[in-house]
Amino acid sequence: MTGPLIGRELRPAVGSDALQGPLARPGAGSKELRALAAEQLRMMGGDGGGTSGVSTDGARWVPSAEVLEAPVDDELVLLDPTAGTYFGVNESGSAIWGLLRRGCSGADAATELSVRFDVDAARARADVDRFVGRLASAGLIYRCPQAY
Amino acid sequence: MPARRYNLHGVSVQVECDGGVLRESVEGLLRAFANAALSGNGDSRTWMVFARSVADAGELPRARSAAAGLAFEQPRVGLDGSSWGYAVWRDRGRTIIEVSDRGLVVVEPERGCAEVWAVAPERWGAEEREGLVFLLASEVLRASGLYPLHAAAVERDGRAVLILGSSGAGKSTSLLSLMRAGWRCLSDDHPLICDTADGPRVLPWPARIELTAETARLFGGLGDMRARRGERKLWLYPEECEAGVASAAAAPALLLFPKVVDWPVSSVEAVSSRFALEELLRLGMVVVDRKVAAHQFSLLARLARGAACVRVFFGSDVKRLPALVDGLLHTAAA
Repeated sequence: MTGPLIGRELRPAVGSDALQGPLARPGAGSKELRALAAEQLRMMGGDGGGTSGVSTDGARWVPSAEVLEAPVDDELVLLDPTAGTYFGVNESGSAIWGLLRRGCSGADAATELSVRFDVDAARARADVDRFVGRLASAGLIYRCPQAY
Repeated sequence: MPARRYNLHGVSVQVECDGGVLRESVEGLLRAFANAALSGNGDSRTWMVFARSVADAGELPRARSAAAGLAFEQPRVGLDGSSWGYAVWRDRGRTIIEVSDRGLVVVEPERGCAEVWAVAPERWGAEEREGLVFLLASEVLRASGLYPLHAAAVERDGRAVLILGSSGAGKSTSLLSLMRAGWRCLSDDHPLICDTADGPRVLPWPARIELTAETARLFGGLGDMRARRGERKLWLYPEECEAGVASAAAAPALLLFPKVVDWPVSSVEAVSSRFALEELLRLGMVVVDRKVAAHQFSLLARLARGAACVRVFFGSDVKRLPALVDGLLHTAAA
């Protein structure tokens, strides 16, 4: 029997490379993803100017309380039960997620990442910005209204 | 209405059916659990299940209250190309599944009660009827801590191999190939995953093994294969194969993700636990109740972490699969 397994058909958010981490090749991602990120930025009052990331200057981000997470080896899978989407996150993305969860700002996360993965600070910053933009556009994190 | 009692790994289910065709579907799906001793990994409650037929959709009861909230809608039901859609509602602790104008499922975990209504089921195919009963059964099992997974599974020496994939990925072919080598059947299509003190375990849910005529010819000697009216596949019961059926929980040792390719020789590649978990989510994760979903997600993550995970590209030498699996298990153990 090919029985239906009741439930929504869960889907990757924006393809299997949805949240390939901050050290993935620059510019990766679909047009749709960029449009979503730009829209998210517009709603958040960011510049949105054709980039796929957000500025992390001092901003802190709070993971959504809805999101379930499961570490697997050095990587991570996030499940948003409300949206019915899941996300595979690679090692560096997993590191950023952990830093954000601990209350680090994006800027702090970039500093930590540049040391941990031995990349220059500007590159780490750009990658963190892009990754945070993707998390935000997927509704996995929210910008904290005030620094704490 | 005479009731029939089943024991699904410790979950006691008493079923009353008001019609012959629904009773046939229930017995087809749950036959392995009839008269089973009451012990196992489920949460030991007793469920009352009612299966009813109505003549048309207007006779379906109004199950939802004004407080009901839509959990999600699915444009079609099943993986068999059928065109049913369904909507899942949460309503004061109940799960209500409205299946187009074909049927209704209501599951009330707190009362240990579940009901299914089917609209003129005598006009449906046998697989469609079983599909509706499966909706109810899987929801009852999930509420009891037993999670169906869309996979084939076999057991030997207490270790399980899971073959995961959508329809057409080669699950039943793999299952038969391994059973020919002495592995026992856990399930052709939907083994159960449960949580134990020793980690995730795979439990048997043996129903029919369904095969294409081509697969049946490839293996040959399968005895008295049957076909259901109007359906393309042939089937047999797993106990009719020499290796038979596993009767106890098995520790998951190997997760295989098959893909049929037009190559003379099969090949394998290791995949990450993350890949495995993403596939497990696609094939078995269900989000209706958040607490239940959180437990299932955690369980599937531990399943992916604890077993060797391999993608298999099936060539035309599928009968060599048992040797390939032995090699993979040996490597994983080393």
